[in-house]
Amino acid sequence: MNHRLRLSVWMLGLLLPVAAWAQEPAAPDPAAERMDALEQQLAAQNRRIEELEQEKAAAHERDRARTEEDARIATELAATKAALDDVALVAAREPEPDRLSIYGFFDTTFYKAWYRSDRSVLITQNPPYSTFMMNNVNIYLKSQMTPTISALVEMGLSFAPLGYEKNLPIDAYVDGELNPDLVDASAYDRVDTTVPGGIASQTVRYGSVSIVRAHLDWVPRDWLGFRVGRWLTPYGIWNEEHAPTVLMGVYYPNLMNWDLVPASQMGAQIFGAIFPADMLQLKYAVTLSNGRGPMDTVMDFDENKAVGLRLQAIATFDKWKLTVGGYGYYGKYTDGYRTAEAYLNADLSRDMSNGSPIGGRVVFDEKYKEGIVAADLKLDIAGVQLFGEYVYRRVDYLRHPLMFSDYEFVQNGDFTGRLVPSHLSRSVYGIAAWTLPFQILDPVKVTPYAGFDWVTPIDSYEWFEQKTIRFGLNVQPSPFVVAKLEGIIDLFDERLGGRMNGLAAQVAVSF
Amino acid sequence: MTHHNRTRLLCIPAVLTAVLLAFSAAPERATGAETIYIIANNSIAAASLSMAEARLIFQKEKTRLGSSAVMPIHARKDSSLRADFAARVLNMSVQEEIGYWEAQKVQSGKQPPAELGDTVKAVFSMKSGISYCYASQYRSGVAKILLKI
Repeated sequence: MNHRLRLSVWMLGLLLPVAAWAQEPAAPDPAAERMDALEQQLAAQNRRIEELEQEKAAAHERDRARTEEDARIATELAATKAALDDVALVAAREPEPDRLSIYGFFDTTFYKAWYRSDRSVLITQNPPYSTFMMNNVNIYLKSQMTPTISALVEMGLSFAPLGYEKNLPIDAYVDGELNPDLVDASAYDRVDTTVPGGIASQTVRYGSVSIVRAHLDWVPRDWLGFRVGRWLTPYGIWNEEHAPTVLMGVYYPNLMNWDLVPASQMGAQIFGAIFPADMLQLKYAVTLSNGRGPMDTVMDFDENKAVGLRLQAIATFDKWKLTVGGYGYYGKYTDGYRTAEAYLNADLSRDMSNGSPIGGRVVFDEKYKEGIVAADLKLDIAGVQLFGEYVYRRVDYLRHPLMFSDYEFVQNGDFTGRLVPSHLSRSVYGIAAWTLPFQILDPVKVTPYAGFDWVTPIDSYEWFEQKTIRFGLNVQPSPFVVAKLEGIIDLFDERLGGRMNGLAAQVAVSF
Repeated sequence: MTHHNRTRLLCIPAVLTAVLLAFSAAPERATGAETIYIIANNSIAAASLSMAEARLIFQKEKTRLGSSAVMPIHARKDSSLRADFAARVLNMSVQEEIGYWEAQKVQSGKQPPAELGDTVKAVFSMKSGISYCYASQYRSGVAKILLKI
């Protein structure tokens, strides 16, 4: 009984809280609340997913539209390129008669020279002070009328004759004192091209245009071509490669500065090339021209025509190229003037004995025959260049000119009006250059170089020679721009001022 | 001058050479692996051509191949085909070739060959045309192959 009672009480105790809960108001169910919250979150996420799906669809649509646009642009670009190709193809296939190329080059140079003395005679030939200058502004006009016929005109634009010193007077000093009796009476004379501009215009300094070359070429075969007009003499290396963008150094070699070979000639040329072996090319040129003269581009002063022969061999292998050439020239230089004459009898009546009382004559005041042999050699081996030229010139006067008075004074110590003797001229130069093969510099080409140059313009004057040592750096950031820095040591006889050092910097541009 | 100093002086060129060699490397030329065909218009009589002849033609030194006049056509400068051709045939980079033509222009007035995008089409269309293409670009019968490189 007790046991049953205790059990009942215990069960009642257990059930009491349930009865109490059943009688209390309904309390919030955390699980249900959480469930509700989760359902709301789920609904929000579903809405967000729907939004994202919509956005994704829109983005996909935009991508599709963009892809289609890209494809359309690519198609149009390809069509444009094809059309351009067609145009270029037609142009290449059927050259237009008036097809014309215009291009050129120019340079700006800074030069500073140091002389042994402030009173060196060399300051009469070189800038006495540091200076900027523009030596070349050349314009090319090239027309390829047909595959075998072409014309080339090269013009040199220049500030000349501005600053040309037509006469440098010579002052004579006796025991350090200026002696007026010995002074050269001629006045200093310099060309000034400054003129007033037009009304309401600035002052103008006019310049000049020189015709460097202008010729017509007809090349029906590789081995046979014809050239007429004014052309560069086909000798050496630098005469034809005369652009500062192509030349290694700042200055021309002495054999060009002294015009030992005429730089250009007016006449006709036959030229060509044959290929006896894969690696060998032989070129030739036969030249016929007015030769050298005081105005050979305008008129020849004698019946003699200058002849020349150029031969060149070019051997090319994988990593190296050897070029060997020579040019021989023979011609006659004649200078003089034409005069009109009136023929009269003793009573000053017209002399009709020759049919006409007036006539004309050519009077010569300088005449010489010249023979020239020039040789050149160039070797390229994997970025290393070795090249040089040699010129031998023989001048035999038929009518001697007067010596320059300063030369005469150095030679003989007076100014008595001696004549220039027949003479030999010789010059040689050699340059070694190395285009640095450093990948770190690519695409800039950096080429240090050094060379030696010697000239004796007139061998009869033992003091008249010039030795030049030049060394420098040629930097080419692109094929169209070259910057150069060059040191120059010129060695003259002490009677001509001795040593002169120079520093030149140049920027040359082709366009 | 002591022996020690002389030794040190002798070391200078060696060190300089070593430094130069360290920075030096022959400029890499673009030389893709794909074969290049030098192709010509079918009207050109020649059946083959040597590498040297190809170089001379594309440098405009040689304008005839056998009895036929030839007109070289380049691929565009910015193409890998042009770079590969310049490296394999002309033995220079495209940049060096541009420099070569700059020199030729002022020296002799020679202009570089025309440039076209589709060299196969150009050779097909141009009677004296000679150009080049990758083997994969070649279409049989359109042009004749003169050389494979």
